[in-house]
Amino acid sequence: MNDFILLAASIFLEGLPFALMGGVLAATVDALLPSGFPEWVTRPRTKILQVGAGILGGFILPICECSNVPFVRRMLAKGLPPAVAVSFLFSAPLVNPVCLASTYLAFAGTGKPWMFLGLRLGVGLCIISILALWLSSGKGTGVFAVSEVHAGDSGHHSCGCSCGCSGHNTGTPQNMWQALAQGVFRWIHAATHDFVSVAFYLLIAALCVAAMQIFIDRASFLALMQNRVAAPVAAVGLAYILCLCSSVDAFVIAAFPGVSTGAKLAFLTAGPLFDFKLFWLYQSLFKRGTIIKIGLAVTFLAVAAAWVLEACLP
Amino acid sequence: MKNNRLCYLPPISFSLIGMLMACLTLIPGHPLANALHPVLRIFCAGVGLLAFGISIVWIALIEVVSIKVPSLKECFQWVALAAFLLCGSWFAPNQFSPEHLKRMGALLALQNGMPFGAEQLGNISPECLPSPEDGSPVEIRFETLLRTSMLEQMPTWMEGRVFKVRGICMMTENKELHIARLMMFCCMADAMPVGIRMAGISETPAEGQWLEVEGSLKWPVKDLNKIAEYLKEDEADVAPASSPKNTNNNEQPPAAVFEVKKWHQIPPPPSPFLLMNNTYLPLPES
Repeated sequence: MNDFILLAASIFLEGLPFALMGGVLAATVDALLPSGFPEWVTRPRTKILQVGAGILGGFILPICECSNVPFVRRMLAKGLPPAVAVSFLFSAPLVNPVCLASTYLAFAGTGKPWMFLGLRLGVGLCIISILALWLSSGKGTGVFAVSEVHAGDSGHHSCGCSCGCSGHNTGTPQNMWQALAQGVFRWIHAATHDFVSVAFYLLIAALCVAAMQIFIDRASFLALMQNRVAAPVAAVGLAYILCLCSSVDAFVIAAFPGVSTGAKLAFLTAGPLFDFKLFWLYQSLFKRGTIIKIGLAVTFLAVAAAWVLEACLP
Repeated sequence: MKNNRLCYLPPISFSLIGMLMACLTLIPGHPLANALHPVLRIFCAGVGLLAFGISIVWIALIEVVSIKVPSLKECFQWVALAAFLLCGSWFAPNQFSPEHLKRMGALLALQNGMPFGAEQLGNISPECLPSPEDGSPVEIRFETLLRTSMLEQMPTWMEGRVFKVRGICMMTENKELHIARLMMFCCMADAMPVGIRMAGISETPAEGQWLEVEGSLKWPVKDLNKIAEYLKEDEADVAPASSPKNTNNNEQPPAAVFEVKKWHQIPPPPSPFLLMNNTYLPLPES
């Protein structure tokens, strides 16, 4: 029981500042950017270019998995096209410089860090592109739990959160101070509203992950990993259970003895895109059915990539 | 303007969360402070202070701006977050129980040491350590010992000296005793056991207990036939197994074993974790 509390509390405390920073950053961007910004982003009309823009954003912005959920929520509300938003959401943990550097360092001992780095990036980006194209195709808002995706209103406050702020209906403010106060309050409300809905899922996730770390026997995964065919499946399963940050998972898997390159790659690409922590975090963004589909798709693609790689590599 | 009392619930919870985040991570000995990597701790404390500041402004603004009553769901979420953090900080133990450590022993897969950094340890000058004639054991950092055990042969600074190191007694799947520590990368949820195999222990210490062991690293005598086999495989294979950490090769590199001369049980130290760092000097742990 004590182990459970310690694990849950530390996972929660680890993710909390990132969730808050995501909320604050999103609110700031929301407040500072002119409302014409989304149109500027949508300039790349083709889906492929939109996905590229999302991935570029994931590389540039210093955000990873805990903080990108509130950020993407707010950006969707602002009118960012789903293809950009989804590809940003999935690529941010994988392509951010910290993650790339740690992958390189972790595999430096094997003598071929560039191969691992390139494969992780290549396979990861392929999976992300497929996911982004699929999630943004046709059915429109069907996949998102946030209702305001296509909120066409150009008003500066489109958070659609049935929110408590009265900024938009009290009419003209009495004086300048009143206006300033309302502006600041709107910012605080935007930041904290995103924070609380994501952090609540983080709390559930922390409890789940802690329970899993205690009750699931990880030794059986290690035994499975020695088998060449089952190894990628076991590696993906281990990645989902451990719920590691994308910036440290390379160190963990790099030192596992006797695990094939394909299985390591499956671990590295599937882990940042989906695990049991992200399953809960995504609840504030996607519908539940969609999340399960995402999970299945990520698993399948990562394992398939690993098998192909195993067959190609000597 | 008069606002509903309920409007104060979110900002007050928020200030509590911020305050706890800052306090927990700034109190040196707190279990949850030990559970985070120092860099993350500073980040968490900073964000906590920021949250506290925002919550103060928020409370102040409630007096000025008229606000709709927050939904029941939102109130519940805020209170749950604050309550969980409060409970966690109150009840969290300092470290894992021996039972959980036993469970983690199965994952002693990182036994081949830190992923990088062994090379520098080969050429430390022996003068920076007390002379070997002294005979008393030299206290050494666990990670230094671990990295050294990955070297091909004994470095000169280790010759003739007895070392003392502290760690947890763990057992792998195939019942091999290890002196191990939990290496933390980011927070304690990703702590992984790393260890060195122990040899020469007559009576078995209890699994999951903290030990202080004295002894020295022993490298296995290289079997010439085996080396010849390796070389043959190398010639035949497309990918030569030249690197000792080649992962496609299931053969483990010949890691050193810690030959124990003396051991005794010790109480667990305040912070049980080993941080991922780049200290190469064989200095004693503070």
